[in-house]
Amino acid sequence: MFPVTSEHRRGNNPLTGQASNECDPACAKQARGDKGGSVPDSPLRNGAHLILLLAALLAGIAIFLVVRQAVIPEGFGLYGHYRAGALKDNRMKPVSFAGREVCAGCHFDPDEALRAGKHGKISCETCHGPQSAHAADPASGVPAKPNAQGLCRRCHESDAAKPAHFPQVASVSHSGGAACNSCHEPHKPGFAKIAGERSGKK
Amino acid sequence: MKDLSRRQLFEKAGRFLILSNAAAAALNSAEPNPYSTADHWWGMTIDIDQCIGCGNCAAACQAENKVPEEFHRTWIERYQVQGDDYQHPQVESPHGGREGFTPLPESAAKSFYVPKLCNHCATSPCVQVCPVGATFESPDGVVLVDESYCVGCRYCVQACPYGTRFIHPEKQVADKCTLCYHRITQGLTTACAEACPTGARKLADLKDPKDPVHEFLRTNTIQVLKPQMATGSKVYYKNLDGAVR
Ligand code: HEC
Ligand code: HEC
Ligand code: HEC
Ligand code: HEC
Repeated sequence: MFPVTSEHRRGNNPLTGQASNECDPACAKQARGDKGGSVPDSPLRNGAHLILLLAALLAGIAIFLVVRQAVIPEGFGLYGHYRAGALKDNRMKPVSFAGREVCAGCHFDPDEALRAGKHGKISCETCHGPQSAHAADPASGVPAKPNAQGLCRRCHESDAAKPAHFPQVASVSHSGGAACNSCHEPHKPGFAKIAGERSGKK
Repeated sequence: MKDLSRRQLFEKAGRFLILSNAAAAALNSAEPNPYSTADHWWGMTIDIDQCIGCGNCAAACQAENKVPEEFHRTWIERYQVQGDDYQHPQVESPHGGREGFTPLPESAAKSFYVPKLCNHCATSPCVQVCPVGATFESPDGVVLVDESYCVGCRYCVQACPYGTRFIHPEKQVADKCTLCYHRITQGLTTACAEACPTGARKLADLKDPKDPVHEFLRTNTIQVLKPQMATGSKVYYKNLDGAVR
């Protein structure tokens, strides 16, 4: 910070020390030598101005900080340009699909049966719907049995847009409206159950 | 106050950063199950050859995330391409495919299903336009929304090149696929992948050297949606048709 002297007021450039043409060097010398420090243009008076200015600046900064504190939520910017707590908020949502391992922990037989057949990779809750509430407390309710007819057709009804390698049937000609699970075991849809009874009706 | 040299300033800033990181780490380990965002980089793989359009993914997403009726965080489109008319494919997605599709009879058209969702872009346009920092890319690569901070201005809905965002009709904030962040951070897969009967869609952790995604990307023909937009999409499609927009 440059000290404020009467030179400033008289138009001296503080950087170069050169007097501007408002006051020639002689006049500047005179001002310094003869009148320096005396009233009416006392450097103290200007110091007061500066202090006022400084105070205003500090007050401004303080107000800015207070408002900033109030407006910007906690943890903002900790990991990036967002509120760090938002990560946790997103993690705290409840889970509806418990996952196959959980079901298999209690329902050993369906899991075994499933693994042995072509439906082996399908998760229980794909057909039975989200059951985390039931898994957490089986006494809370027994899941409804899925409606096999609609269920099977949704995946297996012939559709030109399905990949050709996927097993599909035109249910009308395939079963003539009979329930799919009257011939196929949902958990093990292969033909073991029907092989003896029927001879390859498509 | 004592003057700081530039060097001292850097030293102090460095120390501050290290300390705040340590605080963050402590915070992480205080959570119910330790999960380190630094160890993961999430994405998804979609195998068009496996998708049968059953709609279980879209239905599961709705059930898991309480997605309001007629809004979709993920949905399935059925494409029909007539002959060489790649410019004008016929695309349909009734209820986002949640209830499946009416079977399509054999015809001259080429037809296939394309599941869609947020692409969890590494340099996402939606994040860039958010004026308040309410949508962001998490350190583990998932684009999330801060519901309590979103002002519902809809800039991100406009900015998303994939149309994956909407304004939640009740909450009036931006809503989108979170890649089931609440599930994947506790070792579960996403609801859509859980419900997919054929393994057409799979959660992928690109930072896990043992994840099959690396083999998948290396050995197949892979495409992302709208590659020309350089969004850094992390949803990788296998054998995606050129007609798909
Ligand atoms: C803690 C053990 C446990 C877990 C975990 C569990 N269940 Fe159950 N579940 C039961 C019991 C016990 C019953 C029988 C209830 C009864 O009959 O009153 C049952 C009944 C059922 C039924 C009805 C059976 C019938 O005869 O109609 C279905 C379907 C079912 N569970 C599916 C599931 C699925 C899907 C999961 C995985 C999300 C699951 N369960 C997880 C214990 C469990
Ligand atoms: C392909 C669809 C499908 C899958 C996958 C599936 N189920 Fe089922 N499940 C059914 C259908 C359909 C029924 C009803 C059968 C009936 O009405 O006779 C059923 C019935 C049941 C029952 C009632 C008792 C019985 O055996 O009939 C239980 C328990 C059950 N499932 C558990 C499971 C578990 C556990 C899994 C995962 C390991 C599973 N299911 C996977 C379709 C499925
Ligand atoms: C969620 C989708 C889905 C549902 C629902 C479903 N399946 Fe399947 N099904 C599959 C898949 C996937 C396969 C394995 C296809 C493969 O191996 O390529 C399969 C295989 C089969 C097969 C064996 C076909 C073969 O070539 O050996 C039969 C039969 C079958 N399912 C019947 C049924 C019946 C009956 C039902 C209703 C109880 C049913 N499916 C419900 C998806 C489903
Ligand atoms: C009357 C008994 C019966 C009923 C009912 C029945 N199926 Fe079948 N299904 C069979 C037999 C038998 C086969 C073996 C056919 C063959 O291999 O030629 C078969 C085969 C299949 C296959 C495998 C086709 C393939 O190309 O590999 C699927 C998928 C299938 N059925 C689905 C269903 C569905 C879905 C329903 C309900 C709409 C259903 N089935 C009802 C007896 C039945």
